[in-house]
Amino acid sequence: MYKATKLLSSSSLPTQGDLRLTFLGMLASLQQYNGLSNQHNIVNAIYNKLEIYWHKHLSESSAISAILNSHYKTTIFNNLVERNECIDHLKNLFSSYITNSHITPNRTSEETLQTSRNYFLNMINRQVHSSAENIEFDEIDTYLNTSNDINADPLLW
Amino acid sequence: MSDVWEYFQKIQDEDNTIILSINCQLCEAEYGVSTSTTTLRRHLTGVHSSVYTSNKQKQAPPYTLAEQKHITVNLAQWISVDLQPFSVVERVEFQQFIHTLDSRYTIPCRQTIKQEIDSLFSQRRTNIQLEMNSFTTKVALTTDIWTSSHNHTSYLGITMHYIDNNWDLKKCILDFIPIEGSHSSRLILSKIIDLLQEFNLNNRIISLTTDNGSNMLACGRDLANELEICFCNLSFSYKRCAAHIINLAVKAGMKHLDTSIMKLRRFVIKIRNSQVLLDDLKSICRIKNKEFLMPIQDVETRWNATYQMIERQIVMQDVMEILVNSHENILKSLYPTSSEWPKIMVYILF
Repeated sequence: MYKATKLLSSSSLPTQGDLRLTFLGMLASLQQYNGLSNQHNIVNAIYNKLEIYWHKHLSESSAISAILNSHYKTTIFNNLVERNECIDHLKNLFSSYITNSHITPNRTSEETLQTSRNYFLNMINRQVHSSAENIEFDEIDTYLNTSNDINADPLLW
Repeated sequence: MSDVWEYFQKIQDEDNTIILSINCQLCEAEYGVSTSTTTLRRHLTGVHSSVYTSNKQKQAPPYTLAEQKHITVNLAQWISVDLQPFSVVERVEFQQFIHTLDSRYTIPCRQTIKQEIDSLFSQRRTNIQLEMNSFTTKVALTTDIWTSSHNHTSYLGITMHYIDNNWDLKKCILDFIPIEGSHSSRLILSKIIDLLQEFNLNNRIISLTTDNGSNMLACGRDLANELEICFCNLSFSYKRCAAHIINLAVKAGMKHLDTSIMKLRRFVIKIRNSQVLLDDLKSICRIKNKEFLMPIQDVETRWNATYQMIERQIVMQDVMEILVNSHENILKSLYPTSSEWPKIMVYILF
């Protein structure tokens, strides 16, 4: 608890990923102590309070930001179902951003010419939406499939 | 500061509170305390013309208005950042210090310094507005109320976090607003909305983070409604401070504290409140060649304080035991026994 408070309070730029890491770490650590410690009352009281706040106010709201932090990506989730739901949600969010804004996904220079051809072909065939979605998902999948880098700047992906 | 003070000295009483006279350092001529610098200069030009005029010729010309202003701005910045009183510029010792460093600079009065600080504040605020207008990214705000123990005034501090055009994460204090009366959610909300309008952030704010106080929670909820209805801002969300949640959880656990912790707390309070015990503890530390560390008393509102209290006691355990043995009648019953220490140690495992 002390380390968690120090990490979150003293860090100049704590992220939602740091928050998930510390809260899930604390909950796991308290579960471990509950079996060993003779101070069950204290451990239970702290665990219950943290768990209530975690599920009610923190877990859902921190998930997408945590995935987008290249330090953690999908490593700080309790279970696969929750993780996959969040990835699907992220893809949907990304699609709506691309559709509603001028943001374009990163492309390599080799891909640019091909993409331009695709663009005009799609214009003709009126298939812009489905094609754009594939590019978006490719970018998210590429991001998720590369290994985490704890030293990277989360803003530089 | 007038150049005549290089040659005259203010003679004060024994308590250095009252100026008795003004004496010439060249001939010990004595003048009354209300003598003007014009009269003193006349003395110098009349009696010590060779010394005074030759020194005056050596002096560099006074600063131009622009140069004078540049130094005054820096002085105002130091006064505001270092929380110095405006009246520091009127202290004789400060004036002498500056005059020693640079006799060409004329120190402004405190009213001028106050105006300069007001001007700096307005300028900084305008700069933030210009910077905010130069990009379109979203911003996140954090806020909390803090009461100054110095003037017993409450302030609503609002900090802004954002990513600039270079993808650098930035933060700045957006405002520091004095709060009078009850810290109601309505009052806090009105202050935040005024600020959002002033900086044109109504459509750009994505989150507000506060502690879990009921007034702050209500303010966050109402702000979300306000932004949605009036500005169609649907991306705003209200967040609770994670460190504050940890504190709430720890406090929930502290309700089940063992009596050994309460005993340790009473022991620490006893030592901290006794100058004799503290002096003895310092002496023991000196003899044992150990650094003296003040015992830490835990406070409910200060995070980690109980942990720090126990940790400090463990670090100082050997010298504390010597202190307890030398003041058995006072401390023996307050100091945790060998069977209580393992119970205390459990808490620092969390």
